[in-house]
Amino acid sequence: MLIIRCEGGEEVDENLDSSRDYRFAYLASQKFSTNHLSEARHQRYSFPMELDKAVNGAQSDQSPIRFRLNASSGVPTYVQLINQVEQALRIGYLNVGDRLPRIKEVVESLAINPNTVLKAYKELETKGIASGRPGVGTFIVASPPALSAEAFDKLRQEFIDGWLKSALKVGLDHADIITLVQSALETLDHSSSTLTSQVSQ
Amino acid sequence: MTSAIQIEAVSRRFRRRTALRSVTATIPMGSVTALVGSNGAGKTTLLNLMAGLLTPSSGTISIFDNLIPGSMEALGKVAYVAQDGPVSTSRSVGDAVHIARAFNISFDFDAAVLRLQRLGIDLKQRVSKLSGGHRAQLAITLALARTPDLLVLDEPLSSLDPIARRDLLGELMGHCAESGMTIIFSSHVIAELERIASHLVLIKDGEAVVAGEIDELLGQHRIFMGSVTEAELVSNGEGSVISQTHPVTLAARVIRFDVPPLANALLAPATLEDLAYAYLEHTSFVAGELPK
Repeated sequence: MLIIRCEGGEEVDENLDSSRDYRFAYLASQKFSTNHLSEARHQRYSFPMELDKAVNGAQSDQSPIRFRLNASSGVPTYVQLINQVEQALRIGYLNVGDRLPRIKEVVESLAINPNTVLKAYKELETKGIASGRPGVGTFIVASPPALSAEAFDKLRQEFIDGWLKSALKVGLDHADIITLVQSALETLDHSSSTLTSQVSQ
Repeated sequence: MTSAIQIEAVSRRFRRRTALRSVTATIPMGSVTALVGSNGAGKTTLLNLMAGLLTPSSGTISIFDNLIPGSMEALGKVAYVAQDGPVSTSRSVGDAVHIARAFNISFDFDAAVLRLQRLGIDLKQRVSKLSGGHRAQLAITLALARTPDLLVLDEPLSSLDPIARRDLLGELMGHCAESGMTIIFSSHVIAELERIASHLVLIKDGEAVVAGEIDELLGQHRIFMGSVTEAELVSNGEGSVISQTHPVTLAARVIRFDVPPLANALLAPATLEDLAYAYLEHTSFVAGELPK
């Protein structure tokens, strides 16, 4: 993980020549200018990344990734762990056969409850992405269904051209839009849990 | 899950003051339970009861297989770190470790010495000369070296710096993952609890107002923002309002999900912080009437 101090919008550390490091340089800060943003997007679409690639030359026993948490994101911790594994698979940091970090390692480095990690790993098993071998560890067995860069761009563009434009037209600002989207997702969760409870009945 | 601590209708009085009023809670084995409440709510009294330093005035408290806190069998399984990490102060750190080894049947002496060295605490230094943070760390070291099944911590983080806090929480969670140790601790820092605690007990004026698994509790609560009234929420089947901090913000306990969301309210998920504040701020006495 690199932590970079950005003075202005245009500065990029010249030492970060490999594309992988470059992407992290971008992801480490929101302050880069938009042309860097689009550049990063061209390489691959740019989710905010909280994942850490383990230092090269690490023991083969170690997992290729390390988790990081965003405490202020409001996303539940176990969901953040799942997302990071899926993101790592999409960008090739993790491959089939790789081991996920041990539960003890994760809880010690992040100071989180072991059940949170268990829950994330169990969910990855349910999704068919990972598989636990008792006493050995949890291993990647498949990649998640990947959204192609084109499909991602298309969805994004549809959102901008459609709903976002009409929201801006009626005078909503960024905070209003975020509140509305959150509320809408919450309502969706609300009604989907109704569906599940009806199905189970 | 079998229970590590079973608290049934426990009350505790101190002369004229009632510190705990009919508290009932179950702490599952292997859980990490956060005990939250305002100053003087009765947290320390409850922890002292679990450790066996106090006995209930009425009700029963048992740990693991019906052991009475304070009994010989229970003492071997429980480690307690009281507030301010009290360790005999007139002697050296090394002496404190030796004394702890002499007084305990099982004591991991090497682990204790290693932990102190890692923290940069000099074994030759007098305990009275240690900083507050180091003294707390010494008390925690001695407690961990006893390899307890139940670790009871009274505000373990209050004297530690941010890095030491995180390291300690990580270390404790490592112990949980490895040995299935049950931890109960009191704290005021709700944001830190959210990451490590699996269970929550909220204490207010000596009563346990909420006790349960955090994920479950969060799933049962929502925040409504909008010009809805409690009557509207209740008639819509949403359950009771826990607190209202502003005319248009309500924290409500959602008991049913099979209802259409209200048109005039925005719905937000409740965080642990919201939940704790909503319950702790909620006042049970009528406005204008002073509590006795």
